[in-house]
Amino acid sequence: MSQNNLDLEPKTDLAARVDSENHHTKKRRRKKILLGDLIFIIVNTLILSLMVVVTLYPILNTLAVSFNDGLDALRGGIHLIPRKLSMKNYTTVLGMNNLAIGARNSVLRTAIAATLHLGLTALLAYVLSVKEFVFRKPVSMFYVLTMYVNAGLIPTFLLFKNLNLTNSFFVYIIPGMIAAFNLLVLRTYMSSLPSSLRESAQIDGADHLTIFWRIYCPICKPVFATIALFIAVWHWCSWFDNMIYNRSNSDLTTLQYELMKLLSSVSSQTQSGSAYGSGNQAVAITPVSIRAAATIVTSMPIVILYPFLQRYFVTGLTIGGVKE
Amino acid sequence: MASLSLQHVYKKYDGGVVAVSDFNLEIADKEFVILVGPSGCGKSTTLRMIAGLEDITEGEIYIDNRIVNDVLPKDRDIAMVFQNYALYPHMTVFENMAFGLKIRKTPKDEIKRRVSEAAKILEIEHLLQRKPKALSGGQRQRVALGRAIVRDPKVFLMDEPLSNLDAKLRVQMRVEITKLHQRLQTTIIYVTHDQTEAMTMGTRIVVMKDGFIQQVDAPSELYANPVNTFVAGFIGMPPMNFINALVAVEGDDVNIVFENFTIKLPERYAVPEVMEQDGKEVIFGVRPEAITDETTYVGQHPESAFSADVDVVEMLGAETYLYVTVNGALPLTARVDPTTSQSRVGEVVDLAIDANRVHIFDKDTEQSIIS
Repeated sequence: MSQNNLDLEPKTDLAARVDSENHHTKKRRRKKILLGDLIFIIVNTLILSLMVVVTLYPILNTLAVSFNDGLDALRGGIHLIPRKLSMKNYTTVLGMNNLAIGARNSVLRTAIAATLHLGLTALLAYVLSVKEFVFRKPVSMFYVLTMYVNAGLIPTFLLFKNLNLTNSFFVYIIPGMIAAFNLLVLRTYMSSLPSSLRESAQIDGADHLTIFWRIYCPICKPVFATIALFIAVWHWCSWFDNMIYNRSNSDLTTLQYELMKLLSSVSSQTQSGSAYGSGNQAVAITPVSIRAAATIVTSMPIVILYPFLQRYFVTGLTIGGVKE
Repeated sequence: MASLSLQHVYKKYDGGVVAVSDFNLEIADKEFVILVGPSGCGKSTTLRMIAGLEDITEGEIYIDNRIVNDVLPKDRDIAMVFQNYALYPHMTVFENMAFGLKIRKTPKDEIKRRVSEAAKILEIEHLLQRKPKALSGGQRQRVALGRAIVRDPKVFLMDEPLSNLDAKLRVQMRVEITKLHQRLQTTIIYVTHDQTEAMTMGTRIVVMKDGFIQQVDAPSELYANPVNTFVAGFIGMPPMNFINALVAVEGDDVNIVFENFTIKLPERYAVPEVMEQDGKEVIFGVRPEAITDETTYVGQHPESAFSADVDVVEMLGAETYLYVTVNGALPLTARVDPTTSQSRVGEVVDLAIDANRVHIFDKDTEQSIIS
């Protein structure tokens, strides 16, 4: 027993010394790493904070201007907080004629167009991503060509007119059903998926439609969400097609077109010296304030939509399925 | 379960690349056939043609006496295990295994029964509700196997299923697939570039090179009687030693001469095919285990002894590899017994060849003259 103790003591001393040295080395290393990390965190935080300010400030400033009295806003100097609080900009925007019809049409065109556009573009992208499809190169080329070559407004108008698309809700949906850029994005994503997934499903007995729906669609959720957001924002913000093709039919008006008309009306009346509106409202509304309120009103649905789509913006959905 | 027949099968790609040439093979029911060869030899292409994932340029493929050249993969009644698992990442293990059955409108109870049964065989019952990303490599490969098993196909096709696993797991899965074959009694066609997998698993091995079949045989036969230098060098680890040597016939004796050493071959080599090589150069093949440094053996066989410089000694526990050089010019590998071997690096060691286990190949055609 005593022999054991004698044997153990020097070992314990040595072990303690080694432990102590290791501890100091680790501490020094930790300190060094911490310093490096600290510098990285500080620089990173500064850059990201700057980006937050650059991104957030215009939104908050627009919000502040939209809640500010119109004439007062013309003086400038409003940053984050309204100087002279007023709801008149909003009551004007929300009280305009055709608001409900415009909002309904905007929501409908956004929802229908986004769904159809995404569905059809994805189907075409799947076909073009299948290597066995012999015509995939010429078909891809055909679509890519439309990104660079455009017929121009007048031929397009005449074509739509001949196709009875003018003065029709379908002009919002059909012409933009497939966009070459979105097609390329989706095709590239699908082509990057391992072909063994498709082959495996083929051997399991699935046809192409089943493979597309049951295998590719769930895996492509992130890119679908991104494309859906692109399409939704584009359709929600569109007013030009309304002005060109459906101007004469107020039942087919869109929210953006109505806001554009309101903004033009305020601008032209302010420039001509006559007040917009009547009574107290006449002095409270200016192009600056009405533009701010209109911007907030139109951005809100997309801002609300974003968090619902955000959960799909995840990467690495194929992780685990195949060995990279 | 089914038999398989490939008759004069060719695969030519655009641009004139010929991946598979005149492939002929008859696979009996319940056979475990291994297609083995180096990268680009056409083994995976052949498997994919059987699966229907690649078109056949020429020839016929029969599964259970039915020609399947133009039959879709789903209608061939085959199941395939891919090298990269190819699991559906958004589905659970259960859903992955049940997918093929659901597509074929199998009743729910039957699906549940078959998946449970396969999961039990593969010991993955506790993983059924997990998604592939939550599984280890070995577990994923089991799921891929399970997906094939539940289908109860006529033929299992496996395309290098173990190549993504680490060495230890590969050995374990190798044994499990062999057991699975014994248990399921099914026809399996297995592609690998690993000759150890080929030797340990297959009932028959098809050795391929540049799209051509080199030899089809049972593992032991392939090892003992390779038809050419490619097969002789590809099968066996470490590979066979090839020595450029001269045949010298003296009466009824056949001698092999290389690097100033003469090895006298036993009587069984005194056959016309060898005798007519008298004075000609041949390729003399000796497997590492046919060379020994055992003092007693070397002393008793002076007719097949020679000396060499030891360059490297690799001690692997159960065996030791000696990398030696004869006359400073001819490198050879010997597999010796670590319990008796005294060889050290830098020493000159006396070695002897077991002359009963040598091979002679034609120098020009590289085909075997005698094994």
